[in-house]
Amino acid sequence: MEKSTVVNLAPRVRLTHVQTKRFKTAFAQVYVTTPLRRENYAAISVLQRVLQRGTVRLGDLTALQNEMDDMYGASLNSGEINFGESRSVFIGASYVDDDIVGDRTQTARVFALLGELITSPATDGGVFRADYVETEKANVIQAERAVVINKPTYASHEFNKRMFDTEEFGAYIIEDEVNAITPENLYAQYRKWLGSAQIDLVYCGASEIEDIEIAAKTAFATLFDGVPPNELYTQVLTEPPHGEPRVFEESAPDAEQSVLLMGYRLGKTMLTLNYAALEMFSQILAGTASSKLFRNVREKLHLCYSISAGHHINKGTMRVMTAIDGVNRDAVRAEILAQIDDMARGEITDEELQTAKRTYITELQTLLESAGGIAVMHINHMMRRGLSLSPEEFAGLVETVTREEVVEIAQSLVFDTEFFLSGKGGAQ
Amino acid sequence: MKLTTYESLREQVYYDKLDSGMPVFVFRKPDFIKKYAVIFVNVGGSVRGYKIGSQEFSAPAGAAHYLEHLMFNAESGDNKLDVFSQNGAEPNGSTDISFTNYHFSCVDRFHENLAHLCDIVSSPHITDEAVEKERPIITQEMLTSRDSPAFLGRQGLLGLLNVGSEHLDPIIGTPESLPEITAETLRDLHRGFYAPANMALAVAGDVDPDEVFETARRCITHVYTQPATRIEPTVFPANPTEQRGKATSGTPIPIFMLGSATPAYPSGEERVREETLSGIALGYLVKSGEEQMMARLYAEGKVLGIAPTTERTATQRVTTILGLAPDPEVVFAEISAEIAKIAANGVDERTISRIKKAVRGQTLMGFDSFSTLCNIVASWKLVGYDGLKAQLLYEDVTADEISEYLSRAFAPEKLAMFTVEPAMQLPFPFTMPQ
Repeated sequence: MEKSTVVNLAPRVRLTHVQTKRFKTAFAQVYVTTPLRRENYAAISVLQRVLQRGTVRLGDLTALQNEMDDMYGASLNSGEINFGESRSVFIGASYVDDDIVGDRTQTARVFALLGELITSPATDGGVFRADYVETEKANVIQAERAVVINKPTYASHEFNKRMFDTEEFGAYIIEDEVNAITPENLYAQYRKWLGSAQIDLVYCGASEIEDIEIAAKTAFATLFDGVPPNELYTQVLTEPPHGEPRVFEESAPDAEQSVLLMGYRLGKTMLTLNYAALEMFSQILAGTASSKLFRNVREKLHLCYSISAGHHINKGTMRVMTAIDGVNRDAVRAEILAQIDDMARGEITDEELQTAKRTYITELQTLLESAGGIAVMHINHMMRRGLSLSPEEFAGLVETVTREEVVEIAQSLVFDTEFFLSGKGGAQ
Repeated sequence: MKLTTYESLREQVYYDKLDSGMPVFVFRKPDFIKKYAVIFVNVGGSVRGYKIGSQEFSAPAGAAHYLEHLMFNAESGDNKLDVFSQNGAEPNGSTDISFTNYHFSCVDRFHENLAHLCDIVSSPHITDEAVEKERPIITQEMLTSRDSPAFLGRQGLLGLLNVGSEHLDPIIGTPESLPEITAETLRDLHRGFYAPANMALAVAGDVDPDEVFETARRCITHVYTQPATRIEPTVFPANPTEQRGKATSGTPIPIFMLGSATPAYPSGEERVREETLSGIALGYLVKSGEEQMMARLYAEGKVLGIAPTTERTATQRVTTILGLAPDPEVVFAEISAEIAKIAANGVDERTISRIKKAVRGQTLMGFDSFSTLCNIVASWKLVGYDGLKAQLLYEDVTADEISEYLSRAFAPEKLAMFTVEPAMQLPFPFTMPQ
């Protein structure tokens, strides 16, 4: 296993360094994290796109692309991710490691580029370029409208809005808020955002930590300002805020299939959450081809092609999602409820638990077999669980999970929200 | 097993062939705990006719994919994927237009899992009852894909290009073709295409190559000695009679797919050279011009996203550009103008050398993925070429070849565009500052 080191370079700048010579690819990524808030949700969405349009040195997409090509086809990845009610904007690069192509400048160039993209964006007259802001405003609105193209994605999006309608976690793009953005007010938001954000740098590759510290300090020099980051906090509700479960329905007459989502609060288990047992609960419910929902809803009753269960650890919620023929809604719903009830009554076999553990640990170990996987896994581990355990140590914890601990998770679930996107109905 | 080294790719691969004719490749990776294995089968969605010996067979659309589902069906009624899950392995199967593949990755019990993978392709349990049981699941899978506007765009374009049904029909089949698929159809297909000589195994991980070979030899148990040969269409489609088509859907933004169909080489070095050339040429097209064309169109708000790609059957290649744009006709005109410039003036050498430098790096990075490595050698073997050698051919692509390819693939008379438009028009939220 690779040696990983976490260093606080400044009060709000943290570096995770993982050294390895196993891969041809190296990976570096920066996360800029602030509290998730409805009030600036639209602005941050536009901002993260504007930051990718160019820097003072590389003023447009053509210059950026030429730079990436010149770094042996390095590729940028970027976006935003919510860790509960902390919102991270990230920009990262995968690139051929220095020694593989005999170019010792690759890593320093990548860090310099990431630093420029975050701290030195293209401006005009002291604010963001108006053409970039206008294009990206339009793109944010179009992307939001385009969610409807993919029905499961759309259903998931609408479900989220409704289940978290009183929490910051339910924030979404409102077109009027996007339209109100100007180059001036967006630049002011940018200064405020960057001025108080937690900065996480993560690197996985062959370079020594001393070299990466120098590259990071050079590239992100303006953030070594001694300012402490915003406090990051997620509101966790152990009971549904609206009391009784709520059911929402929407019609999608152009869709061949219907989509069913069922959302739960993890309940009182969140007070002393057993992270490893929660992972095993999700695996046993719908994580593998041997899981309860796959075996029963798909293989036994033939009611779906795929069915999944996922949880937000920070937020303390879990949901089940499947695309089905609309006429089978009640049957699918009843089977999902029945399987979760069975788990709460302790109906989990040794084989199910062992299969879940083996599959989860294998997934974890195989994710650690690429530079990008290692880097993202370390960040996820810190941000999602707030644990100081390494991924390898967490795998050890999973090994110790008992049936009773998984049953406790199932018993603690509280049904909160059902969302049904109704398609045309019958199969052809 | 014989070891071959590819210095510039920093890769080595062991190779041998089972007595039954099945090629076996092994990448030995001592520093990794993950192991990956894949079996490629020489049958995909485009196979409609084939011969076993002198006997001819036909296959309805969706048959190869249906068979892939059935291969996981155990005689007990259980799903054979369960065994992988119990071993902590992550398995899957997929069918594309040319091939079917079955694969798994794992950390422990590698040989047990490999033996099970070999058993899956060797010992199907195809009964009338199993075929009927799988029908509703495949129907749900088919309906999932049909909800995508990109699917509508692809189907629309292929229709305009007059490609044959072997290319036009979705890999998963159609509502009309699925009921035609019977247990007998699938057993025949298995007998012909799952003959060992029509399959290839590739493995990567910290494994002993000789042990892999021995496990494969022991566990590929079926004795089909007559591999099927595909019956390929002999008539190449005419140029499109209609060059525009459209449909409406729930998309809020027009989605377009433009492209053309051109004849393709069926196998060997000519095929792989053409494959490499088409990739470099499409890369050139999106990056051509002082300001790269697609970056400029994005900056000007003329496209929101774009994906150039090519797909092929044995005898024809379809070159496409899929994108989202407020007015697809504007994009069509821009691309046509760029092609006309390339046809008149040739291509820019500096851009080509930049693209080649990027391809070199991306090729090396791609080899960090065990599945990429294994899929390359196994799939190319089935069309008669060394897959790793193929990764170096980009170095030989010339400016003239790129210019000729783009002029041919995007010739005005061959080009068509299918647009999926919003059922309800919303104002496009874009105003360029003056």
